[in-house]
Amino acid sequence: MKKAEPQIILDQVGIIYNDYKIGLQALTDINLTIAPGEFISIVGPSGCGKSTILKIISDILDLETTVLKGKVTILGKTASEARQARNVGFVFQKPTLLQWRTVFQNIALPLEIIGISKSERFQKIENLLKLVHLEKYANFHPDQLSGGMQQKVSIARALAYDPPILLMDEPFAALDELGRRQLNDELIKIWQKTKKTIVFVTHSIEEAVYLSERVVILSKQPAQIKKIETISFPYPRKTIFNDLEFFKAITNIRKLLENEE
Amino acid sequence: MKQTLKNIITLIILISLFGVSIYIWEELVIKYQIPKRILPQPSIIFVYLSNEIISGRLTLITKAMESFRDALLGFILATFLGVLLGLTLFSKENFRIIFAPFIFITQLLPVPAFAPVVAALFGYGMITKIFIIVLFTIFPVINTVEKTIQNYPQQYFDLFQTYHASYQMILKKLIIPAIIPNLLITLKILTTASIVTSIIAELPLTISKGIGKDLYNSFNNQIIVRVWASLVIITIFSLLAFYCINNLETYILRHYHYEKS
Repeated sequence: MKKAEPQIILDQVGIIYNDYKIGLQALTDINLTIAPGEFISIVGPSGCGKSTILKIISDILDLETTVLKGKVTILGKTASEARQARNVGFVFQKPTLLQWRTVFQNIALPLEIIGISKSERFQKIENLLKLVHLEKYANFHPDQLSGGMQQKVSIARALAYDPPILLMDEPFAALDELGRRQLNDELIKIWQKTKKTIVFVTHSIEEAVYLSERVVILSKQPAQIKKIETISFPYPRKTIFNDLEFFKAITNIRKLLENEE
Repeated sequence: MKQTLKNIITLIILISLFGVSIYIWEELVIKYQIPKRILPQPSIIFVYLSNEIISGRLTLITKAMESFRDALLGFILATFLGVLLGLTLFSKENFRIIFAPFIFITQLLPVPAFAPVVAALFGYGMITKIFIIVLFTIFPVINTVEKTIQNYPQQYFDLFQTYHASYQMILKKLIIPAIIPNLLITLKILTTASIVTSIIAELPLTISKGIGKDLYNSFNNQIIVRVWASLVIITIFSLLAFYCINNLETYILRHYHYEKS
């Protein structure tokens, strides 16, 4: 662990879906601590509750249909307090951009809601556009951008109000192999520049190993943490694809997941 | 350029078809010697309308203007109240449970039959007429607003929750812009519906200035050519109103990139 004080603590967290009175146990006994500035990925079988963990941390879980057990602490606060303090940014699987707004206006959205002045907003957005290399597209609308570009706008928007934690729910799942690889590299650069804590959910074991410092492997439902694998390759990892150890790490995680199928 | 040419050709075809229909009508009336009290020739209707304009009496047009002013007033009120009620139905469950059945009932009421009941409450004047227009046209607006928000992807609402946005902010930045495309489609239908309701509502009321009442009186007095002249004016006004809303819709959808999403 690179820093002593954990930023996110999940203590005995569990979820029961009460929709249609099924009473389905989705997650059970999840214990996880995440240090500030850490990049952690979560992998697991389909429908095991990977995205639900992000919803728990960001406090956007529908509590009318779910029962949350255990304790969630974020920066010493409850998940609800952390959300109210806007400590968490969220990047969804779909870019979730507002089609009637330009790229610039989409990134400005959280800043408008917070009430940041126009001049300050302008400066921040300019910097974010540079960070995601979309300076030329400020006045474009989402439908004029590729899927990868849209997702970059979504990342810039999540960073706009400078939350210390960034949650990413399969953000590159819809992209092709090359586009995904390119965005993975860009994400690592953004992470290194901004020093955010990133919790990244993905279906791709390769992506998880390539990006993260630790990979959390979940079991099938009711999902528990089966293992937390530490990935110790140095960044940047562009040459990692020639490294046998990289494929060994992938194979190890795959074996663990295959036992769950 | 190609599109403009296509539009011009379509317009020429439409005008030609219209001209041919009028010619056939004229010739059929002459050939079969259909009495004027049953179906007047288009040329007679045209002469009647021309005399209205040349003589400077403009009674039909003035009366039509009165009816359309009321229709416009009812249309604006129905839109405003419909949006307000739709939003309330979506956000307040108790309100929905209590009032949704009553709102639905407004769709089942036959306007001419219901007019005397409203007149007994509000008198036989303009208020009753506007009330009836609103009553008859409000339901589609409410329904459009409520259903559009209900079916909007949950991720957008989750996104705003991560920003800790107030309901007013969600309303301003998400809900209102999101309902606009569907609302415009509904309003396009309602333009003609409110004009028709305005005309029908005049029949049982004592309003004498509207074109509906004039039409009714002309029919009773067997001035069939005036009835037809009124119908021509109503059609022209309806087409103009529809054209305005249609152009507004096209502009908004294109300008704010709603179309391609």
